[in-house]
Amino acid sequence: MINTIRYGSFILAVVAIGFGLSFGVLFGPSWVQEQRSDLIWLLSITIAGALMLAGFWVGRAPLKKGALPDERLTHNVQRVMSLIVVGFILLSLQLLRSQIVISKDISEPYFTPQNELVQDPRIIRDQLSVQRGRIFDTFGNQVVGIQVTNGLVKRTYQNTYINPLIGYYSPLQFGNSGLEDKYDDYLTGKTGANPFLNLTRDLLHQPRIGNDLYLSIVPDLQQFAQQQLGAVDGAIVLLDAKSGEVLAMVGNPQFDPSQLAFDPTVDDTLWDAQTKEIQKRWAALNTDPKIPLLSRPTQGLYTPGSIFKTITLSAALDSGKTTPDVIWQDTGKLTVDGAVFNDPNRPTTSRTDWSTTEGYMFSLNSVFGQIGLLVGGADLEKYMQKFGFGEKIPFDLAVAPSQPYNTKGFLNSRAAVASTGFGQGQLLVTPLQMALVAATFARDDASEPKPILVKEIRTHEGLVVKRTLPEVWKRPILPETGKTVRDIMIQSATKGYVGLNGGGLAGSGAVVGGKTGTAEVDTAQLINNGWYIAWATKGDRAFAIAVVIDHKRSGEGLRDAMPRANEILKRALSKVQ
Amino acid sequence: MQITPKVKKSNRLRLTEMQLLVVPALLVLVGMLMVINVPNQRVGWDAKDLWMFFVFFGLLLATHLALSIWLPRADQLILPLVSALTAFGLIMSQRLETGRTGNIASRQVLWIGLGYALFLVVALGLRNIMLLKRYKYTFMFIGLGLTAAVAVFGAEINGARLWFRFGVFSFQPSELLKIILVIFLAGYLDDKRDLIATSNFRLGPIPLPPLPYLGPLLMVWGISMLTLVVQKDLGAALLFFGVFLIMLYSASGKASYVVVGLVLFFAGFFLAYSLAGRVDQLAHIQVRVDAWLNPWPSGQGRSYQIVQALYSFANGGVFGDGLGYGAPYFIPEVHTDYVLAAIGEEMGLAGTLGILCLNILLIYRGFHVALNTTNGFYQYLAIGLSSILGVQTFIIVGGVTKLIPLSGMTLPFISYGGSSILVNFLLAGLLMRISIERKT
Repeated sequence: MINTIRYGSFILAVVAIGFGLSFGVLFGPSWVQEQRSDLIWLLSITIAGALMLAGFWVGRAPLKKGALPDERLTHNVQRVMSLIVVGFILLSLQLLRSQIVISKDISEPYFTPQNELVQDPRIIRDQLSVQRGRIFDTFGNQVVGIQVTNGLVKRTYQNTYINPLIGYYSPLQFGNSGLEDKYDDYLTGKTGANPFLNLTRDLLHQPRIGNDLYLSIVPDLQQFAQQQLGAVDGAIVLLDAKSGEVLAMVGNPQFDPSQLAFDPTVDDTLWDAQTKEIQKRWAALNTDPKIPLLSRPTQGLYTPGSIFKTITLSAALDSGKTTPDVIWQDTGKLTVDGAVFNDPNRPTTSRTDWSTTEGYMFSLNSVFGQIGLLVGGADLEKYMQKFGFGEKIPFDLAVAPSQPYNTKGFLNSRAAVASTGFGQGQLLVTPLQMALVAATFARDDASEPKPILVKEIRTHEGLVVKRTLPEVWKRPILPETGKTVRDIMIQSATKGYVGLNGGGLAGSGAVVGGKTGTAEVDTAQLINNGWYIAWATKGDRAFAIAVVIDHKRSGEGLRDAMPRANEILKRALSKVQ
Repeated sequence: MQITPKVKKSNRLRLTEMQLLVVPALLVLVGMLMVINVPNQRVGWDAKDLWMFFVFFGLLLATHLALSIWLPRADQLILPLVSALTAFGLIMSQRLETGRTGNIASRQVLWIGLGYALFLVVALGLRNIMLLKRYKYTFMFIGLGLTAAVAVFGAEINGARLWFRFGVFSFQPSELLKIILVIFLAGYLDDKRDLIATSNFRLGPIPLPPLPYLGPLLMVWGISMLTLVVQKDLGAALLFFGVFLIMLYSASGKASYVVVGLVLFFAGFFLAYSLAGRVDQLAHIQVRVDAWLNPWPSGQGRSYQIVQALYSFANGGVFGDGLGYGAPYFIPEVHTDYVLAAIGEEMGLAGTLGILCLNILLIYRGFHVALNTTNGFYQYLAIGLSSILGVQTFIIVGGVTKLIPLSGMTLPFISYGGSSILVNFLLAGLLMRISIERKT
């Protein structure tokens, strides 16, 4: 009988432990999702403890009557010991639970009712200790690196001309942007590294080593482009037209990501001061009316002006609605449904007959207003979309889509179609988009390349993890149309305004096609955007460029944008045999 | 189980102890080498800091030799167990030393050195333990006097007035009070031994302990409540009362006394808790209880410490991050009350359960001593001293793991701190002394 009770109570104790454990497992996950209250667990473990104690209590044979004092003491002490053992079992269960069962859930970030973040600081420590990948230019010169002190990693910046393309790295405060954000998984080694190597490094307490990015940027051209742009607002994009690789990409205003880089290697006591300083800079960047955080080459939206005539021309020729030799009337102004558009561009005001080709060469608004009307609003929009308007260019940096119009149904009005035809209307384009348009005509099949900034991702030791191969993004027009437009662009760069002002790059040995543009932003103040898009081929190389000079008083593409582009193209071509 | 072999007067070898002492010595050596070799240490340790190991090794050797010469028959497990826990403490204080904490590792070495000295002085020098019994009232007066003095003149650290400041060192009398209380109660219970049998004392239907028990019960309850309210020291209050109930039960064998005692204590506690909103002096109780039930909403405020400790435990897993590779320094004051969280993070569940095992073995050994000793006073004294270890470990480990409300207590032999180390070595020395007074 006594033995039955003892065994029974032992089983009871085992069941009690199982009860406590299973509750810990069952209510572990739900505990975190909700209020993170431990009440159910505490209740279950208390019951488990009480049951265990009862088990021990009954399991011990009761004291016989007339026992000696020493026997009595032994009996009592054994019970005290069982109480302490139960206490320690509860402690063990609690440790088991918090160290194993719900350890993942505990480390999840939690927001208090006051919306304060409560988060394991180790998450940030791990981010700060990862040996983040480096970034190199196309020749393998380091642009962004790291400096490790006491196991903490500081981001270092070596090339002030390329820095604005990198984006900021601020895991403690503002997160990441640009390449630092897009390639974060590669840079931290989460993706692309040998998983076995990662495991061994974790086991050996060595920090993970991230993968390195190799950019297509040519440092010399990048620096030269920035010098050409100077301090003027605007943007320059230089592409390798064959591969789509971005060789240089600059814009003003810009910002330097090293300003926001936190340096964890300094003494702990300086962290707060440093954080405040960075927050001040961040606030300044965000409240700056010139919005320096906006990347002008890819996110800056500008009215294209006459450079857009390239697209109008392509649409008209590709849809077979006109030919290069068709003659148009240009009397110096075009009246569409009562709206009057002046055309100040005619080289000889006495002449009124102009062919399509001449219209492009001399950038005649009346001619292209009429061509626009001939193509029609719907087809014009269709061709814009074929060139990539209205969608985000697949690129390594944040991009803004170029837009055919701002208000829906804008192109239903004939006046609007005419205005759009010569590049005004409600058009807004990014420099990258226009550089891609230019590149289209340097390619034999008139396809639009996919722009590339990150050429390769390699491990720290130099093994290639991922290589970006040239791809076609769009095929906007037939190859024959491309050939025709190319010829017209060459005419423009030899005998048109562009050619007459040195845009043909005579003596460089290259074939050049180009178009200037002067977009009216504010007619009263005479504020204009000066544009130039061009391509140049020499040997087996081809370059495409887009330059925009923003909001200049009496600005003009021919005077402001083209000379800069010419210098850059010359420099790029000088390296080609 | 007879681990302590019967030794002849001529045989002075304490082989078991010697063999077992290899473990703590190796523990400190390996631990220190690991800490020295961690690459991202913020405090630069180098090979010359191994002097701490050699000091520790010397202490073990000296204590062992002294015991072999003068006290060969004393228990052979207490010293290795105490040393293993101390070894953890030494490694952790070295590991957790940062610019903010100051040179806690070398100070800990000093305290441990003084601790071993005190251990030997008590074990070898206290020839007549009965002296403690004779002067129990004197001790109690001194203890209460110190406690009262600290409540009035003490320095306030972290919102609790528990310390006397002497220059750079501070001393916590409540650490000593727990030993004095045990001595007093052991003497008192031994005196009233014969009154155990009869109990006709009731309050209505409730059976009450006879007056000789009721008196001290009310007194200790009073002391606990005063500690809780005046000194704001929830941990000490729990410890005093818990140890007292264990001793009372061991002497009387009556669970009903314990129940009455517990009801009294929790009634007092709940009264204090419910009044916490209105009385400033009790506000700390509510803070502790709220942080226990759900610390997350105030995770950036009042419950910051416990939340950080939970992160530490959670990051440990089974085997931990490895000594020196975790980040326990996110927990404020981690080297004192929260040292177990640091162990949990860097040595994992294996480390924390190991600490619990060492503790339970030490407690078991204390009870073993109690049951083998010759007279009632020794028995009660050994039971009281062992249960101090048990209850204190439960309170602090339960607190940092959020099993019970947190109350500031040190983890015996492991937490950094002078008074705690000294008092625990004093406790171990007393157990050592009692172990000689063995039957047969």
